[in-house]
Amino acid sequence: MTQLLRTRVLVIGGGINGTGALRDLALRGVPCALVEKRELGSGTTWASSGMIHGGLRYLQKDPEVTHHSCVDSGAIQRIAPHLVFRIPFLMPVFPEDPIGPELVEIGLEMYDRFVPLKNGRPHTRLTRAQALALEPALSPRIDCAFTLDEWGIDAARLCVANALDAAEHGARVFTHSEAVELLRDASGRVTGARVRDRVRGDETTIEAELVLNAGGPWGPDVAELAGEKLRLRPGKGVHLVFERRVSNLAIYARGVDGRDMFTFPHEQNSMAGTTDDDYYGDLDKIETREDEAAYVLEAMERSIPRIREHRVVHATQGVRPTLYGFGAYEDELSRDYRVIDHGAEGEAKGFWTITGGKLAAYRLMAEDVANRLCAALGVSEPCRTAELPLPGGEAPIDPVEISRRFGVGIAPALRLGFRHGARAPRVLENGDGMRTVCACEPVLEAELRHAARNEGLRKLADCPLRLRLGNGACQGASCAGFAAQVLADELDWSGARAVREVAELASARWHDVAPVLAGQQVAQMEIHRAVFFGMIGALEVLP
Amino acid sequence: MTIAVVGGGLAGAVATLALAERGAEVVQIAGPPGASGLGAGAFDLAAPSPGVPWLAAREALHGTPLGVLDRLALLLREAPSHPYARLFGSDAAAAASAARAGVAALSRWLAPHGAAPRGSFDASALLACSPGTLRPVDFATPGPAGGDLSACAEIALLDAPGLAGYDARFSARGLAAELAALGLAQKPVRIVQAAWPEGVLDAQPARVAARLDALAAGDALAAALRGAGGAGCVLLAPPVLGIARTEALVAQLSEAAGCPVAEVLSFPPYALAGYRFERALRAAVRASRARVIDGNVLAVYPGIRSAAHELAIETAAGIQELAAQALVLATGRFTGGGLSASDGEVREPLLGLPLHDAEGRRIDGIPAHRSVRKGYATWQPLYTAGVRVDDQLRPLTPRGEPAAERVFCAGELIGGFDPARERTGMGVALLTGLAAAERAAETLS
Amino acid sequence: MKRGYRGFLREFTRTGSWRAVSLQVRTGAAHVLRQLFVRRRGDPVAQFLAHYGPDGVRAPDLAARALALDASRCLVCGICSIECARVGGAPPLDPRDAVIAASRLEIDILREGLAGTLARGAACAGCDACSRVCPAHIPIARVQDRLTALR
Repeated sequence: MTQLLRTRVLVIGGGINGTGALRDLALRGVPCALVEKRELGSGTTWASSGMIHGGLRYLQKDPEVTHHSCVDSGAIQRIAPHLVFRIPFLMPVFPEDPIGPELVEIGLEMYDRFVPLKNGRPHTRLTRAQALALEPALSPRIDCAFTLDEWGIDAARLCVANALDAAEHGARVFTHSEAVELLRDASGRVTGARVRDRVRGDETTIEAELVLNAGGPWGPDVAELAGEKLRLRPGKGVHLVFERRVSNLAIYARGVDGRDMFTFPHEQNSMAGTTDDDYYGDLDKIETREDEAAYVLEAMERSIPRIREHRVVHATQGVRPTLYGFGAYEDELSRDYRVIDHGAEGEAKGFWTITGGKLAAYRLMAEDVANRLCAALGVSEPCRTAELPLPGGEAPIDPVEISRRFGVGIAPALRLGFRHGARAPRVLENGDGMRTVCACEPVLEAELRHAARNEGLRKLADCPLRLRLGNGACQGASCAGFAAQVLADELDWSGARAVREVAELASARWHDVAPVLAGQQVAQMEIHRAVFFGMIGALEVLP
Repeated sequence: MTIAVVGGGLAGAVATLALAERGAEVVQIAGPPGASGLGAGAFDLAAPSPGVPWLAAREALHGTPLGVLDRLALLLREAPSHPYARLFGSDAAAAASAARAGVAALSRWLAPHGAAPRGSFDASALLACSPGTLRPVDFATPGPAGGDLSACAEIALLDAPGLAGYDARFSARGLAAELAALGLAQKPVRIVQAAWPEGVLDAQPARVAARLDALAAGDALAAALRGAGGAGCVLLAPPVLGIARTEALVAQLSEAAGCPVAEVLSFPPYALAGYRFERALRAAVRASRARVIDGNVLAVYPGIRSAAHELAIETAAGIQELAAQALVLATGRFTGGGLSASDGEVREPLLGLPLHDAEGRRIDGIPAHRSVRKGYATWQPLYTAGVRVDDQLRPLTPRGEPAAERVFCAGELIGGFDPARERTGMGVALLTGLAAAERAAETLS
Repeated sequence: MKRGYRGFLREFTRTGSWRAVSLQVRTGAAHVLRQLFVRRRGDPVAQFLAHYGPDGVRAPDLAARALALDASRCLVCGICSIECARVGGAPPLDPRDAVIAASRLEIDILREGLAGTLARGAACAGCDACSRVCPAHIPIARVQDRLTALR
C-alpha cells in the first residue's frame, strides 16, 4: 500500500548535513521531511574522527576558514554541551621533523588568538622531560612538545540530536527508507520522491516543493535520479579503535608520507587515524585494508613506541564527500562546501544539492543552504540553530547525582549523560529497566527502550551507532541476545525476525573487526563465533 | 615414570582420568577455564552434517534423522582433515566403538559429581536456546538435558521477571515460530507464572543460581512449581538452576512439576552450564589418583631420545618444575591459550609447533587478520587452525615427521575443524583425549 | 637556535593569503623578540594540568595504567562473576563490571563517581577466587583492591 505525504522540503540523506539542514528548516517552521536509506549518520558522519576542530591547518592558507571554524565550534558547544568533550593535544617535535619547534610555536601562537572563540586554552611548550612526565608513553626521542586543545563530539549522536529536534518541531524522519525515484511534473520540475522502506518493504510517495540532496558520498547517485551530474572526489578514511584509552591526551603522529594523524580519546576509547585516499569502490561496502591499518600503526609507533601493546578491537571506515579537484594530493584538496541549485545551474528545477564540507562546519553549511531554500520558498524566518539548544543541551548535568538518584552505577550514568544530556533523567523515568544490557559501554535497558520508543531505533545492527551497544570489546557477543529480546518486546518482532537481527549485528561487527584482527581480539572473536553460531543455528541466516 | 597432561578442559580431564584409571603416574597442570568452561551445556560428537549449513541439516534431521554414529561415519568420509579422520581413518566401526566407550567413561567419571551427560546414540534431542531457536544435540549436561522438545506434546516456559538475558515471552514467541518452520506438529507454548522464593530472583543470573543451591530455596521453588507441568509437557526454565547441585535440583523440580524441567541453553556471559561442567571435570580429576598442579605451563623443554621432558610451571607460589616421560598437550586454542596471537603473529607458544588450517595452509608466523575472510558465516582458516597430528596424535613438523618424542595432542589444539561452526569440539576433546592417554601410556610400557 | 626555525622558507612560501602573511609576520616577530629578551616563567606542566584539570586530566598514574592494560584483555565471558556468586561474594561491583571499569580508570570522572557506587555495601573480601578462573589471566583481585582503595 502506498502512502502519501505532502511537505515543502524533502531532504535525501540523513548524515550530519541532511539532519542539520532539516533542523534548521524545522526551526523556521518549514514543513519538511528526511529520508535516509540506512541509519542516521551511518555513512561519513559515523566514520569521522568526531572532532569539531578549529582548523589549525588552515591558518597558513586562509585564516578566515580558521576563524569561522572556531566560531562555529563555539556555537556547537553552546547548543550541545553534553555531546562535546575537550581533548588536550600533545604535539611532539622530533629532531628530523621538517619544521622546527620555533615555527611550530609561532603557528600555535597564531592559533592562540582564535582560542577564546572556541572556548579553548592557550598552548604550552614542554621540554622533553616535561612532556614525558605528562605522558610517559611518548617516545623519548622527541626534542620538545607543545599542547593545545580541540573538542571531540559523538558525531552519530549529534546527527540523531539534530533529527530529534527537527522531529519535535514537526519534521518527519524516515530511516531505512530509500528514495528510488524522483517525481517530476509536466514541466520537468522535481516535485518529490518515491521512497521504499527497506525493512517493511512498502512505499511512500513524498511530494515536496524542493528536494535537497544531502547524500554525502552518495550525492552523485542521488543527483543522477534527477538527471544531474555531480562530481566528487571521494576520500576514504579509516580509524583503528582501541579497547580503552591509550591516553587522555591526543597525541600527534606523523605518517611515513608526512601526514599528520593522531591517537586521540574518543568516548570511552582511543582511536588512531586517519587516512585520506581516493576511493573508487562500492560505497556500501567500504572495507579497511591491511595496508591502511599498517600505515596508521606505523605512524603511531613513532610517537608512542609501545602502541602495539594496546588492544585494537575494530576499525571504522568511511568516505568523505570531498569536492572534486584535479591533480592535487588528497590531503591538499579543499574542505570547502558547495550549495548547488540545479534549477539555475542545471536542468532540474526544484532540486538542490549540498556537498563537500567537514563535520565542524555542519551548522554553517546547514544555515547557508536553509537560507537559500527559504528564499526560494518565500520564507523569511531567521536561522535559530546557533541559539536554541539541541535536545539534552538545555542544562548541565551531574552524572554523579543521576547515579545516586536512580540507583544506577556511575559508568552507565556517565554514558547516558553524554548521549542524552539534560534529558537523561527522562530516559530513566520513562523507560523501564535498570538492568545493564551492554556491559562494555555500559548501556541500560531503559535507554535501549527509550531509543526504540522515542528515537526511531529500528534495527539491532544500528545499536552500535546509536547507543554504542555492541561496540566494545565483546562486539555484541554478550549483549546481542538480551538486546534483541528488549527490542523484540518494544518493536513487536517475531522470533524469526529477532534471530535475523542478531545475525545482522554479528555479521556487521565481523566486518569491522576482521581486517584488523590481532592479539586478544582473536580469542574474543573465537568466543563471538561460538556464541552466535550456537544461538542462531541456521548459518545461512547470516548475511 | 610420570605422564604430564597440560590442560584442564574436557580433553585434558579425560586424558588424566583415563591415565589415572590405568594406574599411571599422572600429573595434570590446569589453568583457568578455556572453551570447556564457556559451553552452552550441550555437546555433539558429530554435528548434523559436517560443515554443511545448519538448516539443511535440520531438514535432514526432520526427514531422515541420522544418529550420532551415522554422522560420525559421514564425517570420516567427508572431512579427511578432521581429527576424527586422523584417528580412525575411514574405519567407522572403530569410531563408533570409541564413541560409545568414551561417552560411557565420561558418564562414569562425572556421575558422582552430578554432571553425567545424557543423550542417545540413536537420535538427537531438540533443545531450546533463549531466543527460541532450536538446536539438535547429541548429549547434554544435567541442566538442559531434560529439555528435549522433539517428542513432547506441549511446552511451558517459566517466567522469571527481572532476570537479565531471559524473557519467557520472547523465547515462547521464537519457539512457536521455530517449531512452525520445522514443520513439527503444532505444540502449544505457554508461560508459567510461579511464585519464586523470596529474595531469589535478581537481574544477575549467577546470583540467582547461587541462591538456588540452598536447600530451602530449592524446596520453595519446587513447591511453587507443583503441578505446573502435565502429561507430555516439558517445562523450560532460565539457565539458573543452581551451580553446585543442579542435577538434584532439576530432579526435584521435575518431580514437583510432574514433567521434565530443563534449562534453556545458555551462552556467555551467562554460561552457567559450561561453568558447572568444567567444575565437575575438575572435581572428578581431584577425586582420582591423579596429582593436580594449579598453574600455567610457561615452557616445555622436550627431552631428547629417552630423556624426560621438563616443564616450567607458573603457580601462585612461584615457578615449579616438573619432569615427565610423556606429555599430553590439551591446551586448547585462543581462549584456552593453546594458540596465541599476542605478538602480532599466530603461534603455538609451548613447543612452537607449526599450525595448519583445514586445507593444510600454514597459519603460524602469519598475522591473524591474513587468515580470516570477509563474510561472518564463511569458513575461516584461522578458526580451523591448530596442530597437525598423525594417527597416533603426535604433532607433526611441516614436513610431516613427528615433532617430538612422547608428546601427544588432544582436544581443539588439534587443527582441521572449526568448533564453532561444526560443533564437534566436545566430541573431539573426548575421543582424542582418551586416545592420547592410551598412546601416552603405551610409550611408557 | 637556527635549527628551531628550520623549514621557515618552505612554510612561508606556502602561505595562502595576505591576511595569513600579515598574521605570520606579526606573530613571528613577537615570538623572536620574546625568545631573545623575555625569560620563560612558570611551570608548563602545572599550567597544563590547571588548564585541563577540570576536564578530568591528571598526571598519569602508571600503576593504574598497567592494571588497566591487564584489564583490557577481558573477554567478557562472565566466569569471574559466576565464581564470585558461587563462593558467596557480594562486592559492590560485580567482578566483570569491576574489570571493565578498571580498563577505564584513566577517565577521572568515572573514578570520582565510582567512589560513590563503591561506598554502598560491603567491600570485596579479597578471596581471589575470581582471578584464579579468569581465562585472560587478569588479576581481578588487584582490580577490586584498587577500587576498594577509592572508597
